[in-house]
Amino acid sequence: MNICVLTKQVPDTDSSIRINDLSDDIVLDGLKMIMNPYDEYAVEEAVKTCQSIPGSKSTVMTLGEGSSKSILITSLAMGMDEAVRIEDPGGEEDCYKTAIILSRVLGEMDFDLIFVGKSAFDDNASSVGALVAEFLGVPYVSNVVKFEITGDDSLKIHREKESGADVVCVSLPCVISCEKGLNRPRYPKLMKLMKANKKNIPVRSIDSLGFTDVEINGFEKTKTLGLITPPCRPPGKMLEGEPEEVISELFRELREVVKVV
Amino acid sequence: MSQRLWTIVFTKDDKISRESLEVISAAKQMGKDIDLTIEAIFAGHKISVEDYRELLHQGIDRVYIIDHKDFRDFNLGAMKELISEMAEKYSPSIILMPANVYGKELAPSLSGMLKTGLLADCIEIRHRDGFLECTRPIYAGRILSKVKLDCDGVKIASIRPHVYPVPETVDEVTTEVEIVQYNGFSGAGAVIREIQETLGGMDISEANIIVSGGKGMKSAENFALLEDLARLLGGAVGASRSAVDEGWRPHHDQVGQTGKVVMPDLYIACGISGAVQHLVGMNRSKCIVAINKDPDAPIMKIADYAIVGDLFEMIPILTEKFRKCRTGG
Repeated sequence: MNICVLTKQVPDTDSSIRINDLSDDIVLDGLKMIMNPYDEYAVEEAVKTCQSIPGSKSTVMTLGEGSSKSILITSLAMGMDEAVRIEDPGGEEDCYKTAIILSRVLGEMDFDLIFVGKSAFDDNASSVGALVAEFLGVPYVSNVVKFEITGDDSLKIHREKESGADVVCVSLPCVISCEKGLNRPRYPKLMKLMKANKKNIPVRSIDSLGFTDVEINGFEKTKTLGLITPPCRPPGKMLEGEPEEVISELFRELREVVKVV
Repeated sequence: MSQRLWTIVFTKDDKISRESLEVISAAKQMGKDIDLTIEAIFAGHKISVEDYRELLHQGIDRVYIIDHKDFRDFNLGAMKELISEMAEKYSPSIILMPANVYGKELAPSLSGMLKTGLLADCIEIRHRDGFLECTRPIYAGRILSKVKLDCDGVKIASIRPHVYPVPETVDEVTTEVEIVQYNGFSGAGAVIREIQETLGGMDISEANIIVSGGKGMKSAENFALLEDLARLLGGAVGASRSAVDEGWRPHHDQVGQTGKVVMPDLYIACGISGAVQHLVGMNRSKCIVAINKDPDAPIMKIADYAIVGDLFEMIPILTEKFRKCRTGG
C-alpha cells in the first residue's frame, strides 16, 4: 500500500504569538517551529499501517520554505520511508492554492491512502485535506479517531463529531484527517533523527510542477486584510478568605450581579 | 438586484441543529447591508412538514426540500453533488453553513468542486464594497484575522457554532417551499454505517453552564463533585487536557486547543491552571469563575471571580448553597 502524509510546519503552540507592526502577519523571529501537532497522529498512523502491511511505502510531504525540512526529518525519524519538500511560492497563504499544488504532486504518484492532521495550528481552517481529496476526486473523511482496514480497498473508520461518533465505511483511495485519540504518536529517537538528517530530501519547485505565476495567483481565493488581537477580558475580582465566606460571596454575586444562575 | 444566499441545514437527533439556525441569523444580519434573498436547503429522507416547520418561522424567503435515501445520514459526496447541481440551476451568490464537523467537510469540498474561495470558521461575516469579508480566529483563537474573498462566482463561508444567536421566530409564514429532485449519488464515497451517540450527557459546546476540572481534581472519581454541581445547575462537565490525558475524562469533554471551543454563560474552572491552550477554548465565556490553590495561576488573571483555595473544600459548599436555594424554591 502506498501511503502519503501531508504535514505543515507551525509555531510551537507554547510560544507567544505576536502581531507584526504592519498587522499583516505574526512576528516569526525567534519563534520555535514544530510539526503541526495533529500531523503527528497522521505520521504515526501511516507508519503503523505500513508496518502492518508488508510491501507498503510511506511518503511525507510538505509545502514550505527551507526551514520546514526539519519536520520532514522528524517524520523520517518516526518511521516514514520517503520525504518530499515543495518550495513555497510565497504570496498569500491560501488553502485552495496549497491544496492545488499538493494534489499536483500527489497526482504524479500512485497512492492508496493520504493522512492529514485534523487542522493546522496556524490557520485553523481544516480545509486542505478536503480540497486535496476534491482535486484528486477521492472521498474524504475528517476527525478520524479509529481506523481499520477491512478489505483490499475498504476502510472502517470512526469520525468523531460533536455528540459522539459516526462509523463510516469508505473505499480506497481516500483522504483521512486525524483527530486526537487515533493513536499515541511515537517520539523520534536521537539515533533515528541523526540518520534521517543524512537522508537526501528532494525539493520540488513550483516551475517543475508546470504552474505559471499567473496560474498560482489565480489560485489565491482569499486575501488577508489584517490581524488583530482578541479583546482582553476586563479585570476580575480575587476572593480570598474562609471557604464559607468566600463561597457565600461568590454565590451572591452569581445570583444577583451576573444573574447567570 | 437581490442576491441569492443559501444556508445549509444540518440535523441533529432528527431535529434542525442549533448551529444551522445560527447561520440563518448570520445571513439575516448580512441582509441588513445588502439586498438578499435568503433560502435554506434542507436535505433528508422521508421528510414530513414537521421536520422543517421551524425553518418556515425564521422569516426567510424560501426553503428547498430534497428528500432522498442518500440523505438519511450525512453523505459528503451526495451533499456536494446536490448543491453543485442546484448552484448551476439557481446561481446563488453566497452559500453559508455551520462550521461543525459536517460543515467543515462540506464547505472546503464544495469550494474545490465549484472552484471558488472559502472563508472557514468565521465568527463574524459581512458584505462590504461588493466583497464577502469575515473575521476568523487563527492560532487557535489567539489572533483574529480579517479576510476577504477575492474570487469570482459563488462565495462560500462556514460559521463557527454558538457565536451568532438563534434567530427570533416569526409567527406569520411567508416562506415558500420548493421541492427539488435528486437522482442519487453515483460516485465513490464515505457512507455512515452506524451512529454512536457516545455522549450520555450534554454536548459541552451547547451547554449554558460548564463546570470544568483539571489536574487539581487528582482522580477520575473526584469528578463526581463537579457532576453534582453541574447537574444542579443544569450544566455539563468539561475537562482540561491534563485531565483527559490522565484518562479521567473522555476527549469529548475536553475544552481547549485540542478539544472544543466553548462559550457558556458561566464557566467554573476547578483545579485548572490555565495553560494558553486551555484559555483559548473558554475565554469567550460570559462569566468565568476559577477555583485554584495558586493565586498566580494564569486562569486567575482572566477569571471574573478568582477564588484562592482548596476546591475540595469550596465546591461542596457551593453545591450545598445551590441545592438549598433550589429546594427552598
